Amino acid sequence: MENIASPRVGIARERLVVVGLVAALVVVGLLSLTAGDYDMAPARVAELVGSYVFWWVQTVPARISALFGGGPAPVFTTSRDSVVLFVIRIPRIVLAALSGAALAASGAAYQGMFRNPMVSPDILGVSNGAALGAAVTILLGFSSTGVHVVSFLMGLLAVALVMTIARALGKGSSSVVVIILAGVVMSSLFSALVSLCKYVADPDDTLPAITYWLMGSFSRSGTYQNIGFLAAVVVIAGGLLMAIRWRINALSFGDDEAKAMGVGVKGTRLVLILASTLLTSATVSFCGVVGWIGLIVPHMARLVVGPNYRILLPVSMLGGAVFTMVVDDVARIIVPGEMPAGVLTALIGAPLFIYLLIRGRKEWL
Amino acid sequence: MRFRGTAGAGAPARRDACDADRMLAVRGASVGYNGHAVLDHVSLTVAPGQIHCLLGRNGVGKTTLFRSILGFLPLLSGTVTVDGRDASQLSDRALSHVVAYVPQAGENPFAFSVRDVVALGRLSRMGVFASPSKGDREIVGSVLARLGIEYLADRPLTELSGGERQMVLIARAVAQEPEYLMMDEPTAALDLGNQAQVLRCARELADSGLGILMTTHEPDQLRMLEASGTLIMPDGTYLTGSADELLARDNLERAYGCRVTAAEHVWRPAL
Repeated sequence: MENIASPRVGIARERLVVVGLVAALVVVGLLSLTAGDYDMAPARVAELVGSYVFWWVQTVPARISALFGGGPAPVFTTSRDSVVLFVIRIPRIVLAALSGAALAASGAAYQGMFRNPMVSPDILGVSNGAALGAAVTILLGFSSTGVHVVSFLMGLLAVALVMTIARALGKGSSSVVVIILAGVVMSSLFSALVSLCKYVADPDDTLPAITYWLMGSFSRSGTYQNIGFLAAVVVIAGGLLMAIRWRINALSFGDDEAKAMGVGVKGTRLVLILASTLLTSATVSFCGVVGWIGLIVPHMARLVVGPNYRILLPVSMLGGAVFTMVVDDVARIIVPGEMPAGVLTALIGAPLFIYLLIRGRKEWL
Repeated sequence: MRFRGTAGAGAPARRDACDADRMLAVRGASVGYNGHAVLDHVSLTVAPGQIHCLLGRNGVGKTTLFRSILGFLPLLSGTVTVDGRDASQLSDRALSHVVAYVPQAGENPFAFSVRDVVALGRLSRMGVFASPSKGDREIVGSVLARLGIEYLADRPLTELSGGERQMVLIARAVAQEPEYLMMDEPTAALDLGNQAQVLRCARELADSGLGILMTTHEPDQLRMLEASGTLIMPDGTYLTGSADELLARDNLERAYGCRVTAAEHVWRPAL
């Protein structure tokens, strides 16, 4: 294990933070199962989970034989409660947690690379690109899978476009400032195109669909297929960021110093942008634009464990998962029906961010 | 730590040939931005154990030359060789094993601990995806001890004074275990005490076998450091030599465009 302590933080404290966050993840996850319009007592949740596990173990032989064509696959007898729990709540909670981890990881990585704690994951236009993909496909009446796929790819394409433009502008040596400028320009272009889509959309049908999509919510994409995909992205791209964590530390000292420390700046930056873009684009394509998480969660993490990505990155991911689950619970509980998560993160995020700025100013400015 | 100058008892002839190669050499270099040369046909060498100072007035191209030697800027013409190898042909990683950069104490927005900052000097010796090993951490500790700044180890970089920060950046460069140090105005904006600490440190590192190239605005530092120097003139020509050769009234007046006097009683940091 590495035990290079951060300034105010010993290894013991870092461990405590990680253990605490894992515990919070479990506890909040379990509490989330009972949160929502449809009343379900914790006892009922436990009973349903128990009966599902019992059924699953009991039917292992039957499923194996079904796999080899020996009869129909067994089906779990569903009730109203079990549908709410297994089809709606659990996937939604997992989706929220994975999204939070993804957004926090890419936000933290970008803040280091751009040497600026005010940077959020959509700085290079990935959110607006994905939003444009979604708007166009909703306009054209694609299925929800079609919307997800196109939106995800458009997010990637947007960043690829930004990087190409940055390279052209910087005559090969794309500096960080040029990358940010290209990102800002393209973001605003994509957002104009989204407005155009809204303008031509049918006001009774597709316009509200696009508008609600853009608000961001965890309620609509909770299928096991979707969370499987998002989990794979979080593991692969998050793992990639973890692998280059010490190199991200070096990048935060600027390109020249990182280069003189023997860090291949261009390659590292490319890996970082690729990983962050995958994370954000996958999240946005499933949940719409949920802002603020990628900005404030790394801030809070930095206040607690310091700026070294060795510990900052995992703590940001865990913290992002917990924070987003809590936000989603509040969104479900606070008003009958529910509230768009994107609206709620802004309502919570803005004042929290100002508070963090006042408290921790010395560290980042 | 790697100390130079203990090559052992090899065949004398071969050792001479080898020693001739042991230097950081700039030959016929033209440096500048976007194809426009700021400085033309500069040649200079830094040998192990030697300090060489780059002098000249603001805007004359010191920093451009400095950045070009480090490979931050492409050379317009000429070569930079380190120990006989063409620097432009070396990867960032390979170059960082031989040449380390001590930047002016700049701003990092994040409060890294001194120990973490110095550990970054080990990056070029670690696997691409690795973390500092136990050995790396021991080297970090010994470098901090060697420079006499162990007491800073757990302090955040953002809370250090300018002089302390400069020492930390030197420590990071030394942790790279290079053969040459490139120091960019290491005493800029430092008080006398901190100037003395930084210069003494540079002298000791050179005595232990490092070659040091530094930019400075204090001609006197050539004498204090027993360094050689290159004095760049406003017209792009330059003089290279020892302190005694360079620090003459008409040289300095030509270089800096003002009258100078050799004052009898000037307080300067004593090394």
